[in-house]
Amino acid sequence: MIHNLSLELKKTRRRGIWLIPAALLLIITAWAGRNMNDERFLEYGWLMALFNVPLLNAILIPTAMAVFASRIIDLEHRGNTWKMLETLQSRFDIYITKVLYGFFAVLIFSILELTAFLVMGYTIGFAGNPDLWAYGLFFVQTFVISFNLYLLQMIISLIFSNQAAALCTGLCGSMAGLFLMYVPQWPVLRCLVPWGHFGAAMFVAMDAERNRINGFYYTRPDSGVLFFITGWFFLLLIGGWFVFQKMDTDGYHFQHKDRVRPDSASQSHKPVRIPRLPVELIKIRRTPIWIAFLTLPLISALIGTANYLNNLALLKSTWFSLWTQHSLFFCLFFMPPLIGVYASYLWRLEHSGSNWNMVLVNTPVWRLVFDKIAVCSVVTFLTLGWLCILYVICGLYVGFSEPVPPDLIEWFACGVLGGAAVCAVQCFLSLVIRSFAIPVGMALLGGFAGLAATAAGHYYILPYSLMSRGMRANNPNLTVDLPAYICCAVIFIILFYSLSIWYIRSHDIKTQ
Amino acid sequence: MNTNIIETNGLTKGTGSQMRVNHIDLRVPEGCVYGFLGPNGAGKTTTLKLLLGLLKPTAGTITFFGQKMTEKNRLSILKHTGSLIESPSYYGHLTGLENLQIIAKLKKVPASEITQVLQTVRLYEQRDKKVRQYSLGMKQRLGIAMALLGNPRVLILDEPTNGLDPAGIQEIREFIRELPVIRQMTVIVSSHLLSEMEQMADMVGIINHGRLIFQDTLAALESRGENLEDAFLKMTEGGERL
Repeated sequence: MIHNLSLELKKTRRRGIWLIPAALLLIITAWAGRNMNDERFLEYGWLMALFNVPLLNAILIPTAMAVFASRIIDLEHRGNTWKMLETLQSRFDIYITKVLYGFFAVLIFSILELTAFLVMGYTIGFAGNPDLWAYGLFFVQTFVISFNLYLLQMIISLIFSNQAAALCTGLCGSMAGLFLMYVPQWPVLRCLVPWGHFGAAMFVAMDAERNRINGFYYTRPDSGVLFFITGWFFLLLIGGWFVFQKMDTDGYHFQHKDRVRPDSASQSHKPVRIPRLPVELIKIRRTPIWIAFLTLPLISALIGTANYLNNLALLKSTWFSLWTQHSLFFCLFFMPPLIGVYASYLWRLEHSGSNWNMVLVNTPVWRLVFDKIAVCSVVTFLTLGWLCILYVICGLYVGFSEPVPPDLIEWFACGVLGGAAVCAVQCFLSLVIRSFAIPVGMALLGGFAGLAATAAGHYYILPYSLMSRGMRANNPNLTVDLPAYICCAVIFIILFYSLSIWYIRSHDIKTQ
Repeated sequence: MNTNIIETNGLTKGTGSQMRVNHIDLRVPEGCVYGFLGPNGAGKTTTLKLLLGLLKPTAGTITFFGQKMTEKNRLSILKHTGSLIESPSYYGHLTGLENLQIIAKLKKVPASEITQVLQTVRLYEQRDKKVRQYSLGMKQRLGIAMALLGNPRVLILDEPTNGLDPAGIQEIREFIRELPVIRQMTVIVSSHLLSEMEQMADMVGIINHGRLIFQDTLAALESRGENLEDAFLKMTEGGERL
């Protein structure tokens, strides 16, 4: 087993796999450090960390685990190595090695996270000493829940060779987990899904009235959460093995249904036509991307509305408050990686096999890059449009007396323009970086960097913050200097469009 | 033989120990089948990629149809070519027909030609199957169909018989032989299968370690009293047994 694990380490050489946990740790500590470095909180520091970190974990770890697991599994899909491995190792060995690799990675990450917070607490100078049992419990929780998520993502990456499925699941899971933290009325919901466990297992609560924080206190985690976490662990470990054992690893991956169908379809005698659809749209037929495209805004809307209804006492300004509930997390943390998935998917079509040979012989470079950014922007337009439609529907359901705010059109337009800028950047990243998952992870980082940039008052220096600002994600009352805004977005689009063209023209193509 | 349809002068890729293609002067006459031979890793694919502008040459020029190829006129020249380099290019989640529709749209070719090439490579019955589910030989046929689409003046095929069964190999060979006669095409076909070349090629270019060490008609080679295999092994120092 040690031998197999060392092989696994060798396989992931030069893949920068450690960058993912490292980046994750960096953001979590930087973010938490920034929030906690406030004198008002020093006296609650140790408890407050235990209150805040699960929230960060819930936002970041599912996507990070999706990226991490996809990196480990996808190399076998891309190298078409399953058929070789299976002749050399038993299936069980292949499976358990991948599991153990993740086990140790998650373990190391959890130890480092714990250490980081202890070091940070002492450096900043939190009052008193940490409760060791509490931090021990926190460590065990982080480790077990993250490992469950790793298992889940690993299995999805195994089953669907198209990594878009795994990353979309990670994103949707993050979103669901985050929002379920704000729906304490139905604790069983967040126990049911593994992404909700970070919230369900929390054992520190905040005592706050309006905007004043009185303190933090220990509380009981949701009842039964231990049972659910353990249940998921065994379900994933055993279920995953069961699925992997049953699976054809010759590249078909659960396509038995398809395999039966085409023979009858091929008998069709329809004359051959050339569809009117643009080439790039023909290429994205039968993608699984619509799942994320439909689900993410839907989760955001459902839970945003629920949260709004729960907090009617705190929130007053009706349509505007509802907008914040719907758009805040979605625009800051989920839209950038979602665009990352779109862009990665579009370029992966060309990165796979020797497709570059065909594409560059038949299409001018400027046209190709333009089409990719355009398709990506159209999907972004549809996603944001869907978000707005859901917003209006939810608003009508809640029963506001005022009409729908006309500003919505401006928010939407600004959001799409900022979104197009994000598309240009992500398309460039996915063009240069051939991995599916890494650019998606970078988009998540970008979302955080954008938040930091906005907090510093410079939202226009990053396209990610440009988009969330355009959507007025944190405050619908903010005004945006339209000419400057449009100017920034257009500059980003042109800059990264040109960079992509330059990259293709000045580099020799690589085929697998 | 009449004029050369493709010429390269001092075509070079790489420097020093990383020299993949070293000052190659190809002369491909119009209307011939040009067999491009060499052991594995000799630089065949690199040369063909350079011809198509898929790689940027370190030095040297490429002339197609008497026009020097530049970044500007590259695509307008390549419109008259069809190519299959390395392994076939395809989108696995789409059907064979959809893949060809994409190429047809890019090349602005009418739908009737799709049917024609599908029948030529005998994939017409399989057109609604996803390419991911094709066998290796079927993917190779699809690649050839993509190259043929648009009736190009020059066809560049990199080891086209890879993965085909004996009947398929024979069929493709005969097909390639007929192309210059029936469709007035010029075909460059690379291979390391010498017997295959003897049956197909009019002209032969032999490349080893990135250098073009022989280029003449097959007849000229054979008139020296050698068969292709002996000549080839002698020239490549018997290096790699094929």
